[in-house]
Amino acid sequence: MGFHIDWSLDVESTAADMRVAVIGAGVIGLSTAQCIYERYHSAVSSLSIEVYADRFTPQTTSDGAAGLWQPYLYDNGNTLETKWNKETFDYLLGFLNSPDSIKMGIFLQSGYNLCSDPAPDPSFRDIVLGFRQLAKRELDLFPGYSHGWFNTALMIEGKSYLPWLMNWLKQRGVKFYQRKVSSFQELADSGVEVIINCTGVRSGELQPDPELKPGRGQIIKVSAPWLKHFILTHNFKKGVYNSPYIIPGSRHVTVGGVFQLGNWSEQNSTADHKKIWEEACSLEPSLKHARVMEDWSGLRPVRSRVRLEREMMQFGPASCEVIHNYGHGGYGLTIHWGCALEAARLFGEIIEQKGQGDRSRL
Amino acid sequence: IQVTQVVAVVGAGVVGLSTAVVIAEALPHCSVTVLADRFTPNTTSDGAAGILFASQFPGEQRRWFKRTFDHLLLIASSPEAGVAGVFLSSGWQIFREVPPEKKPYWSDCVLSFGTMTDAELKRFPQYKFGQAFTTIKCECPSYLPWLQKRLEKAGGIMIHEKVTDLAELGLRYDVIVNCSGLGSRELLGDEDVHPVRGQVLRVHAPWLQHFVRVADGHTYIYPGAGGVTLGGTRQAADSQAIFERCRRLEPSLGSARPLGEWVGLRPGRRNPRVERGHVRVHGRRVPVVHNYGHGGWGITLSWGTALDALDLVRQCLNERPPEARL
Repeated sequence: MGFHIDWSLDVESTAADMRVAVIGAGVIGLSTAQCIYERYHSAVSSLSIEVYADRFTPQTTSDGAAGLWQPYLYDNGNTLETKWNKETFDYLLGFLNSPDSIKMGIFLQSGYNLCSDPAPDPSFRDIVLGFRQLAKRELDLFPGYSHGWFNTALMIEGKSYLPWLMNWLKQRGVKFYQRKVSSFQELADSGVEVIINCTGVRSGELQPDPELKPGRGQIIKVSAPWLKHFILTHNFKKGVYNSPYIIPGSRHVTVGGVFQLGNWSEQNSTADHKKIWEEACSLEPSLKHARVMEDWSGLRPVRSRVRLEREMMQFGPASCEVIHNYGHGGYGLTIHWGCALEAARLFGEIIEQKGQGDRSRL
Repeated sequence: IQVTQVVAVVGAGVVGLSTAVVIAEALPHCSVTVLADRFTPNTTSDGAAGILFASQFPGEQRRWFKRTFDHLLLIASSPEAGVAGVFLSSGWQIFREVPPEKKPYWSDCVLSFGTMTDAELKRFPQYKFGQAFTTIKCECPSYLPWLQKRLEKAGGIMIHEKVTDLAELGLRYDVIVNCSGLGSRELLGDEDVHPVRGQVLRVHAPWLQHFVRVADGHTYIYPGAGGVTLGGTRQAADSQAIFERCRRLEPSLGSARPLGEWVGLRPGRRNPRVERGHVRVHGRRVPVVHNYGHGGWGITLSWGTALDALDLVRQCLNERPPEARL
């Protein structure tokens, strides 16, 4: 049985390739591509990976995020996600002493998580380094917060990590195509056998998902090089990310935050800027003398849980395996590697079901 | 009518300026003049990394350190932190062997103090023990100008003048406060003061957020607002050696860009001299308050020793009525 290849896609491949298409070039798409390549390029000699995206670094959501590794305080029983978070932390920690760490945008950072009321220890307490309760003398520095924790975590800056990933992939022959994929079928029809769907907040355009919503965030980038600690506040009434946070980075300090569920606007809002700035200056008075650089808005791909699962799609005679890997909310960088490993595991299942190694398709 | 007493402070490093500010603010009837041959950014203090950290001096150490820390913590938590160059800094001190004293006397003076966990020590495989704490970094290229403004606001003035003779100064001032650091060796003939050479490199490595200090004091990495200070030495050493030792602790320094080098002479002494003396001027005794010899701990002890010096100045002023100057 033959199949039709649409050469107008200008895809470089041969008919015997096992073509895998990753849609999305944020941290999820690129790291999943890397993980699959690493684990299967020798097992599947005809493996050909292509990445499709309408936005590449530095225009992706991952690029705008501050890059602090930290999950939401509580996983609410979702121990799988906690496992993925831990796998990511341990994986990134392993790169700290490597000569590539800075190219990858990885470095340690310590700081404060502050709560307005007493709260149980967070889900990540045993994952991060040096986790401890805050002493009264430390809490005195943050009026209005009666409880909190100090720990050492990692930064993983998208603006460095994504270019590093793309380089890594390009060196190994992964091809990149800048265009918006309009449907899974389009790729299946062209001969792609496996699609990795890492389309983040706009996944709904490929397949409606009522659970996926934008969680709009806005941040202010400032220059305040005397700040060496992250400060995250938690107000359980206002909800995650709706209370001030300050995260120093290698190039600037990121000041936030807002979390507006259902808001699709990527335009900076003056009202949001004002609210963020006032609250942050209350939290860290020295920001008064910081130099404001610019604002940025992004849409967190919010979902009750990450969608990481296989789906077999049938398009007439052609069928295609899809691995969904989207809906990472405000913790994409934090969880990416654990998800990439799981996606690669699912890919392995697919390979096994199709029969290993080089086989022509039936 | 209160007669204005004129007080001379010799030296415009961190000790001199801190002492001058403390006096000018506490004693409004005193007119304070700082005299120095060098002002920021050319003082010894300007080259120091400024991480607040205490050592093993006998005597008043803890009190001096605590008072300095508390004073600087107020600045660090104020809007002025960035302007004054005074801000929180967290990091680790690591030991090759487990020390007999795991909790030093200053452990409750810093903002937080604890023992490093095994997971934290993993990054330093040749070190068996470590302390994790949050202290303050006080960068003199910003802090000294900030102190100068504060001095001027309190009515103090600064004069560029090399003081070579305290007796001559005694002709013009009611009390002399000697904060001349290493200069006291020549000025007073105090042979206890000796230069302790320090050499540091500065590099651009803005991703470094934590200090790392080897307990013997010979190797340290201190990230600041404008660069990272790598050190150090207590004798002549090659910059490359400093860099290599630091890079072994922190491999990412391989990506750092060099900014420059600095060599300074710490005013070494077995302990800081904070006490009264006097100088004879035409048969009169002009009181002198000494506040010098802080070694590598000038910034760390600056405010605490300044407060002690203030007490001594008060004593001097209370004991003798002002006499007409000749």
